[in-house]
Amino acid sequence: MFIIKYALKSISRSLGRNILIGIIVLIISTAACVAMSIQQAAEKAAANTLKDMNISAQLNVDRGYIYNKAQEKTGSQDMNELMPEMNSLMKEYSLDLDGMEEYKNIKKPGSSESIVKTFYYNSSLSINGSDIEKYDLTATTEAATEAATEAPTVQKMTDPAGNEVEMPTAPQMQQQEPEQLEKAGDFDLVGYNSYAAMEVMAGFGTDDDAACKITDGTMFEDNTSEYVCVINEDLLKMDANKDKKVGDSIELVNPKNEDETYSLKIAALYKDSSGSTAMGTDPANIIITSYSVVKDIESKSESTNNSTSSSSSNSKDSTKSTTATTAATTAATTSSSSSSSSSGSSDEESNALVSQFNGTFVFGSVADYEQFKEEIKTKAKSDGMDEDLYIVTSSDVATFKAGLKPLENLKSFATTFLYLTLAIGAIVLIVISVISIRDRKYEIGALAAMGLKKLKLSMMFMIEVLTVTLVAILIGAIAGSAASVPVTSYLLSAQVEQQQSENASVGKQQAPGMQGGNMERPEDGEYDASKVEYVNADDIGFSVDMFVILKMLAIGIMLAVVSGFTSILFILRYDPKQILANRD
Amino acid sequence: MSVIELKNVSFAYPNNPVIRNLDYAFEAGRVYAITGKSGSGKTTLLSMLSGIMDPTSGYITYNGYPIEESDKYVYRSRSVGVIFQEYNLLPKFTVRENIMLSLDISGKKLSELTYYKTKREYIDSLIYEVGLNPEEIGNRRILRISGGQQQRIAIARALSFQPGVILADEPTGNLDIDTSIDIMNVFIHLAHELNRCVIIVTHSPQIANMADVRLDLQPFSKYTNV
Repeated sequence: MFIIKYALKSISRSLGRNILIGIIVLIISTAACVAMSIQQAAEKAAANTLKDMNISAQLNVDRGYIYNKAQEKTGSQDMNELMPEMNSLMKEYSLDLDGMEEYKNIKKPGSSESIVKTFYYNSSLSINGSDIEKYDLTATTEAATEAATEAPTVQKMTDPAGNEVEMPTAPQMQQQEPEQLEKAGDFDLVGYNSYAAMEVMAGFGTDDDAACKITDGTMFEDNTSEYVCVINEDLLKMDANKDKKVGDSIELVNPKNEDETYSLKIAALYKDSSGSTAMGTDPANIIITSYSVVKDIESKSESTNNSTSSSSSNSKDSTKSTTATTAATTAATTSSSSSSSSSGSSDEESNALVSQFNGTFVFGSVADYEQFKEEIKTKAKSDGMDEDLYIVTSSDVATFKAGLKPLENLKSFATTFLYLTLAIGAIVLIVISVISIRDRKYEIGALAAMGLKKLKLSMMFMIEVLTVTLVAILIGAIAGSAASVPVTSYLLSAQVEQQQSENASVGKQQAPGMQGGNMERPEDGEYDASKVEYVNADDIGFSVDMFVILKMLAIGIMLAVVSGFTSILFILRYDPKQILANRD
Repeated sequence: MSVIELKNVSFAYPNNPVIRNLDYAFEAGRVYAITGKSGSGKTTLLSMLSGIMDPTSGYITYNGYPIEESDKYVYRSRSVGVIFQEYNLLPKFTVRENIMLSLDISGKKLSELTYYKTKREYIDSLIYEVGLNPEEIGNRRILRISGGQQQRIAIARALSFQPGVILADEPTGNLDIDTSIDIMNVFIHLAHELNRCVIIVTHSPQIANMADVRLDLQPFSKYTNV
């Protein structure tokens, strides 16, 4: 007991030294507190939001994997040689509805419950209009054309293996194969299996912040077989379409067979305020119908064109039809060609419309989403395929994680800063302890000569260091708590600004092999940078909670123990007789 | 009756034997003055008696028990009071705190030592006993009192837990002659009135002559009882 009393007295009688130690620990603890509150806030922000977030995700063939496979097969790095092989592999491995349904039914480990909460899908066709004109803003197109003309014709890219390869840019490809891109239809006819699928996959809704809203007419019944559609109200801005209204019909035509037409009744108009250009098509040119209708059109187109294809199978048009399919496949990020319409070489020669299947899995939590990613690999392996063949991506998670990126950067910086501060702090404290003990050598010798055991002597020094450290830690926690908000706000704002300027220069984040950029795929897929909501300091409570206090306490004890043990090592080495004999 | 006894004690520093086969018995109620030339082993002998150093051969007994076998820290804190040449007081503590620290380290209860009710009263009585005014200097830091006063406080500290033996290394070395005589009188009082065994090491013949027994230590352990 008297040890504590004299330790405390010793602190008050050696104020200068203890204030110096206190200031050092105070700086360390303030910095540590700020760093830890940033770490804590980043973890909380991510965990709280992701915990109850419904996540929609897509299952796709990994284009990076396909690229590598194509390289292996062809032994070439030239994209023009690789593309046919890549398209062939994509066709081989792409999943249709039946294939997706298998993955939909994967169970949670040790449970009969399915990992996937809901599964939505659509199918799309590239088609032209005969009595309806596609939405086209000439000014925008001209500006885009000018920009494209000025752009370099060859782009340096990094393949997934890290090799730099040259890839022709879009205009260059167009110059080489002008016919290919011309053959895609003016419109995308997209058939959803339900309105819920439209909500999840296209952002339909009635809320103010919904990306797409029905503005006139009534939505058709889920998966109806009636030839009805919903069109974008912007289409009516075109002169040729001005007279169209809800209840009228529009006529669509196969771009490769002008005699093949389909009439759909306009059930409703919708407004798309997302600004998205998903699937490479202007949103105004997306015509929505039911999944059954698209499949019916595809089926009819197949039978129509199979009966007429023999006469023209070796003509120039057959090449055009192949390229049309290729272009459509390339444009759809999450699609797979329907293999039911045709197969083998006859598929390449047919003028039949070919739909692209697109599935979206919805998960109740991030844990389920992550589990699904693992199960996909396991299933691929058990089916005798490479575990990297399929990838699961989620723009929800990718967008959310992108929003957290500044905070994550800050967290990473804070962690490095924390370790650095602790390391430097510990070294400084050890040095001070050594100097202090050498100064107090005489005191140690006198106390030992008076019969104070080295254990008690060590405890006395440890109590001194511990008391000073803990008091400084406490003050540091208060100071750190107060400082964490302005400091973090400042640092986070700088990070957000930097991120926004990076995004502005890069534009939409792309999946690999799409329109340039680095071919390394973001972990959770592509996201639209314009939709990213960055976490800012006002959204997060940078308060110092009990967990941070406990961590601070642990750090304090650790620092005290480090410096205290250094003192103890010296105390144990000292012989009182020698200390007292060599007092000078 | 002997309180502390040397039994064939030898001590050697590496390649330098200092004390060889020394036998002697120190008794309670007497003041011993150990004199001798530099290097004769006076301070070494005192260090062995205080338990800070061990003999290289032979042994020392306290009240008949070899001190090597007991806990040296307990021996130092409860049985011998050591007054060092440089006093070895702790400068950052006050006079009272220095004495109380020694009392606390000994672990002895106040009731074992005195009829005073509080430690403060007891400590003040010790300060008074060595000829100082506790009200005047009790709360002063050590560096704020004179060398003579520091020496007296070192004695009061050594007396605080009432050890059977008091060892003093050159207790008057830094003091003027009048103060030295005053200090010696304190030691004589402790031995004669309180029946303590007081052993001092000194260079001063005048101080040595005030002791009851004067031991002149010769190199290699011969001593002359003067």
